[in-house]
Amino acid sequence: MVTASGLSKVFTDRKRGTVLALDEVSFEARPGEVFGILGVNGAGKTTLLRVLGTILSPSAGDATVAGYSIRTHPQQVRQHIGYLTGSTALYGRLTAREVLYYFGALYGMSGNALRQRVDELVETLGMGEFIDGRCDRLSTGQKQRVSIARSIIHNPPVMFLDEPTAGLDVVTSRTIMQFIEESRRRGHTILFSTHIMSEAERLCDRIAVIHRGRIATVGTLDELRARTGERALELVFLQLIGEKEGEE
Amino acid sequence: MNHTMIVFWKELREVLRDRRVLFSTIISPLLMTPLLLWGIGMMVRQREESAQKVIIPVAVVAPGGGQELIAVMKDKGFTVHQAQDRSQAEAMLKGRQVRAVIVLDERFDQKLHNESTAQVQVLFDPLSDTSRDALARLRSLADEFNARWLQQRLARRFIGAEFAQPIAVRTQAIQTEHPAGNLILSIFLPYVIVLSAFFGAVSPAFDLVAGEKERGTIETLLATPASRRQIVWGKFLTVTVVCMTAALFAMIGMLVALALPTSSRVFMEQAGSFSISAQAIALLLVTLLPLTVFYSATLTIISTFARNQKEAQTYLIPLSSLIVLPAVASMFVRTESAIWLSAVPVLNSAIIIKQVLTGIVDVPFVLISLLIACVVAAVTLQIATRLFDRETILLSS
Repeated sequence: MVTASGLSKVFTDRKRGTVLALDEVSFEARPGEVFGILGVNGAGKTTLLRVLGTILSPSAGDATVAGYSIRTHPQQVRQHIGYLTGSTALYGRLTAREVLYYFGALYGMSGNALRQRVDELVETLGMGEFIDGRCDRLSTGQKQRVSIARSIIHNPPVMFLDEPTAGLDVVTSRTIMQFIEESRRRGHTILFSTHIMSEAERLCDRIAVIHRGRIATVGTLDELRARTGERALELVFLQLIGEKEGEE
Repeated sequence: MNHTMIVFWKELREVLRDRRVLFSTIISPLLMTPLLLWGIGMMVRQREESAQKVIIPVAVVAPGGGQELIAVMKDKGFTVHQAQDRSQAEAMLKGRQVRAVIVLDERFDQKLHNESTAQVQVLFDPLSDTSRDALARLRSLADEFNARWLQQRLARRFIGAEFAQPIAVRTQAIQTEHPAGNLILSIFLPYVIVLSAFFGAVSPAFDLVAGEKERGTIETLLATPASRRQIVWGKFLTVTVVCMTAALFAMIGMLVALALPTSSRVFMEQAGSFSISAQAIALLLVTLLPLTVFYSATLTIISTFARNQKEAQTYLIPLSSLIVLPAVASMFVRTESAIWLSAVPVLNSAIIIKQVLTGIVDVPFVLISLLIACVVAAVTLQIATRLFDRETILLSS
């Protein structure tokens, strides 16, 4: 479960001055739900996930992740989340297995439990052929599978996925989609940020449209369609952010 | 295991697989330093031998005799061209037909036999190596010639050679705990150590934070339960170990280089005879600890502040002079230095190393230096830790 309440984030930029990246964002994402965060580039999707993941601290408001406040218990929050971005970057001089052991250790796992979990992920994600190969020699698809394994090594109840398919080919994107669907079946809470409408349409149980740091609306796909009178999510989205700009 | 140690072991594993680091910290000091000194030694030897063997053409203007001196010159490896006058001889020197011109006194033989002083003027080309060699050889030849004539003049008056030598100075170096070769070590080793410790760790330090930002792996690391302090300390510890390793291998490389027979040509005969006691090594390590902490924290600061490794390299350029200048100064400052030098970071550590190697340890200087080095190290480490907490800096790439 993830609950955000009046989350704001202000950056001070030398060129742009004070920037309100998040403006009183509130929502609730439930277990077994893929909660989509839909927005254009620079809308605040990454900042929102970084604040929820305690990588950035909020300027105002609070949120709870798996029951822990991001303000008072950031370490417990991080212990209960899996964080995956579109970047497939891994440690090039380590093998895929070493990467998994490293992150497992950082999440407090060790010994047989860690070994068994790595073996299980190798089996589930089909990494047997390259698990002992150096990461800088893996293909993009293989790297992304290692990245997925890395993010769920500790079996977190909450997943933050920040544009996880950005720049990936169709086959690799499909692996990510299947992973998200599997995580939902397992009852995980998934926050999924994207600007790709087809992905949001296929995966998200509910969608929050974010624009200029503010949540424009939250609802199921059918609710958003009913609200705007449009069928295609692309048109729904454009109408919603258009309304928002009109309000401003 | 503590998160700091988890990060440390992972970083160390990565660093050990980095060929750049292995080259700069281990292979280069172990191979390049001895090879360089061997090469220089060979060149010096070749130069010395050729300076002795080569027959050098000179022009002599001898209006007043001087055949005895000319004969000695021919015997000592000179080809002598008799010139009519000084201007002709100078023209020959400028035209590189001869390498030096010797203008003898107009009444050379007369003055020599009248127990007077005959003037000998030598003209040479300061830009020509052979011309300078000719000058050196002529000086030595003149000393021998003078000694022989002085002896003859004194004998003619039945006076012993002691007459011309009121005192005779004989020197003898006392037997100290440290062989004479330690003097050479005390000049070069501090310089090599303080530079190698810094520059050996540049590549891993920049890779560990700026590189992680550049590759985009830092975000996933920050999303783990490890705190920022634990992450930066793990990375800082790795860089410190690399600094220390680089310093130790630089020291071993320098010792190997000095033990080579050709090194005596570069420095002095005793270059190869040195010793470092276990106690001295322990004190060296104690000195290196705050120095490497300071280096590691400074490099971590740059690496954290920079958006990528290229930018970090740009910041490194002005900083390098702050390390190189005290390192170079350490070769010239005296072992028994003024106490205020204990307040100069880097230089103070280099002076302690000098003192340890020569066995002339100034205890107050060492204590103040170590105290100041520890304070500087602690402050830079604190800055590095705080900088790592600044999210705008840490997530900039």
